[in-house]
Amino acid sequence: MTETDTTLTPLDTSSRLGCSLRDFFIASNGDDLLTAFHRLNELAPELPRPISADSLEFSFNRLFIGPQAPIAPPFASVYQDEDDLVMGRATQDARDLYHSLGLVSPWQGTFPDDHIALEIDACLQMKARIAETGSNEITTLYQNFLQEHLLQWVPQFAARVYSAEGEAPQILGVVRLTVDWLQNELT
Amino acid sequence: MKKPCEDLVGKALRNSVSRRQFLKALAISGAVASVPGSLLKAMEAGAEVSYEEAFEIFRNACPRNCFDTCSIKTFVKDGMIHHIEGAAESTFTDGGLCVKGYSYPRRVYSPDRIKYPMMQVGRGSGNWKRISWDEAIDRIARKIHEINDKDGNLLSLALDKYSGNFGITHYGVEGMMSSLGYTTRFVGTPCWPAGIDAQNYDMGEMWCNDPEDMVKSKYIIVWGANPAWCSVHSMKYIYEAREKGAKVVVIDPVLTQTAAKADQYIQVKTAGDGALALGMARHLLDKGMIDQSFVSQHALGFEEFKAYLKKNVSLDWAAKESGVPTLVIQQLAEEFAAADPATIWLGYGLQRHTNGGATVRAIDALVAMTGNIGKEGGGARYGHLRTWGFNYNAMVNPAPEGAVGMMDGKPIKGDFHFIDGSKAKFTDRSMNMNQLAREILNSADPKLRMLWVACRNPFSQDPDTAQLQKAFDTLEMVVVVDQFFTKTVDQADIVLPHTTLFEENTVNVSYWHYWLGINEQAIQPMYESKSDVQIAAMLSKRMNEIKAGSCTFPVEMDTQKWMEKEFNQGIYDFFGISSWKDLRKGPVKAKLPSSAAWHDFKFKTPSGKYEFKSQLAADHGHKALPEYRAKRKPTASLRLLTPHSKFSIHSQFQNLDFMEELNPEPLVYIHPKTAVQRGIKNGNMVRIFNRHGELKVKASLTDAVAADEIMMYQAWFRNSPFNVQNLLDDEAADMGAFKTGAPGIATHDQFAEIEKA
Repeated sequence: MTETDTTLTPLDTSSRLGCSLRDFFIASNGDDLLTAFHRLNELAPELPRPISADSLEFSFNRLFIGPQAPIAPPFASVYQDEDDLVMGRATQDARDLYHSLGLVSPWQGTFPDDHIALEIDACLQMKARIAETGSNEITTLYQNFLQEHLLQWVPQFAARVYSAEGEAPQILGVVRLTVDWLQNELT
Repeated sequence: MKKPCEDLVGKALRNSVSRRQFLKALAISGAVASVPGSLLKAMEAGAEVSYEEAFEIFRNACPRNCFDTCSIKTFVKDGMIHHIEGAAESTFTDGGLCVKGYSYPRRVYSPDRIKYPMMQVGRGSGNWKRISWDEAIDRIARKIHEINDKDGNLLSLALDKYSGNFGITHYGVEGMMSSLGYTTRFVGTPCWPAGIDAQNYDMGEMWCNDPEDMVKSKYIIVWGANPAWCSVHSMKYIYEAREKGAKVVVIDPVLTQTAAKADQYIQVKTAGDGALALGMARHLLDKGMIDQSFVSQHALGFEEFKAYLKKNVSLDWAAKESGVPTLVIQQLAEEFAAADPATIWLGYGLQRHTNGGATVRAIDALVAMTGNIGKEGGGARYGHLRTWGFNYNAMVNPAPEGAVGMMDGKPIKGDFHFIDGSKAKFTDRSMNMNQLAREILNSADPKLRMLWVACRNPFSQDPDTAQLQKAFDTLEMVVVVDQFFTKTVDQADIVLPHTTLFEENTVNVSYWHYWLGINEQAIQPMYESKSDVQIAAMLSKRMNEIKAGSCTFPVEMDTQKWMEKEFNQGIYDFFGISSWKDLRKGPVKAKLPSSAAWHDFKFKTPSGKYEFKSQLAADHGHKALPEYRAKRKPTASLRLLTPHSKFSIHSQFQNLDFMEELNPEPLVYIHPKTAVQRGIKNGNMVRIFNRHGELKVKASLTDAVAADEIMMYQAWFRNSPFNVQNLLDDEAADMGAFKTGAPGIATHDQFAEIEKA
């Protein structure tokens, strides 16, 4: 989560952006958030200027973590399933997808597999495999994952974030960037 | 607009084979691609992508503060709860749950759950930082050491815990405090203490018939209880009795759902119940409808009680005081005395009054003088703790060597405090849970510095919000352990995420029925949640790292092993099992020689008899006889009632989406006459206010409440400032201190004004 720019350098811009978005959403403290934000800012200069790590974290926690009911829980099932709950059908879908790639969430069973950071990570995995092998199967899977899954819920998630009052524009910017990134990944 | 999920992976390849086959086929490249910082891991080599075809079934038990303590069967697939059912093995649960119980999966999987230990930068600011468990526990441990260094004791560290989780191992929270040294404990109970004392004066113990034996009753009075909402599983026994010819009468100030289902509903003036009971007793005396054999052989002081009734109680007086016409009092008394057996279910609401204990004693007397005590299908049913004989293993930790506490020799008391601390040199400091704000503010030598809140939500459940806020503002550190962001968490410095019942092991019994069930861990704890005892073990570890010997609580914690440690031979014998493992097959019921409490008439009073006249009560400053005690004087023009809703237990459940759909917003119920006088129409926003505070809420007009009363269901709505506690004060009930360490609280002796907002 604290990869340096050097680590990301060999990647194409799209993957670097994806890595930084993933790291932003999975950050567990203000410093990690700010680091990820700085990296995103380099790739997307249109983002608002950074704020303090604390201010960023307070807002991030209100939006995505808690302990208050988060304004926009970053889990697919909350938006895609009939029930506004975690660990639903969409979670199972994400888990299936990871398994089909021989992957597994390190927190399976204790953390919803369809968290936005895990799903972006799966995208990055598929991108890397497509680049390595040119697999048609994975390309189809990736495009479907984007179209049928991520782009179904992330815009709804983003809408909740945009509607939040008084939260950090930096985070709103990152969410906007996420939607754009997913749309750009669609071919 | 949501659309149903498609089988994503299957659809991708337009593949008609089963998901399992497909997944096997595609799990080709096990290696993680070289993506920097990747979160997803390669599945372990050789790990089959397998999906469980069948459900794994676990035994759970609802640990909420509810009569029914349901036995639950939990169906798990792929490590996730699919659904739950009421266990059919328990004839009480009978395969069904209540609306709250069925919502449990939504509680586990609510996106609102508290997921991580967090620290608030400025209480009430909403500015939270996520911290690791290590950091959270370190901050807490350091604060406790700092207090001990400053004060030379830990009496400024206080625990506020009550009924949020009745799993037996949760008494480990009290054990955690004992293992740190001598601390301050908020004792007593806001629930039922006046009635507990009353039944102890009358019979020597609170002990009720098996509720399943209500089917044998010929006459059932449900007095101040609302089982149609608050004990739905008891209703089937009431219905069965009625099918067999019993009459069901409900006495309540409010036309409750139970009242609506009864044969007769009697609207009593709030807090006038004691007068009604005594009026009935007086009438039976006049009619000679007394069970002479019981009152002469098994009772003490009936003659004195008779003399009191003759001298002080008339039907006209009882009618005036209770609001129930004399003719109805006569009819009710005669029917009750003529039926055999006849029973009264005494609800907890009727004793949340300044005269609540006296009221329970008067009703007990009515049941006793008609010979219905000790009888199957009879009884003065209030509650019992007969099945609670566990080891309380996690509760019994010695104070660390050298710890200093109070020297007044007053050990902790409590309804669920089963540990005898009477021989200790030092003791904890007891404070009244029902006057939390006042006690914090008045604390001295030492002043309270730190509060640990577990299984409790004082900002939703304790009176006088404004004063409580002032009190919390004086504390140096507040730690709250919870599952959701309550009004109390908002006032915490550190919040620790707690597991749900499906994520830990414990054991549960009821204070009403006689079933025992284990609660198995059905799924892994979500996020970073931990159970109370796991938290205690972590704290102990850190305390001892900082200073060896500073905490005696174990530093390792396996909730299953701790559940096992609660069992003893007494429990096994009482329930007819040879091991706790037998409970994996389902809950079991205690082997009762009779379904009737006091079936052998061996009362536990000083005289060994039913005591109409209790010297013990007199010694404690009450009347020796079950005499009427006047109602609290009004402090505003309308009486304010804040009973339980169907959709919540105190501040639990209403925050879930199911409940919000069924019960979207708080309301105040007001009689049309009262509304007209104030120009209030149905649906108007109104302001309710008194000397303590105010709140705004929508009005609902109904004649289910009396014209001089208004009612709001107490509840915590997650997206609303609504809080009935803004308007309540901490006036004490008459009894409770004897058995629970502090008097009860007069929750239903409250008053307010209402006007159009």
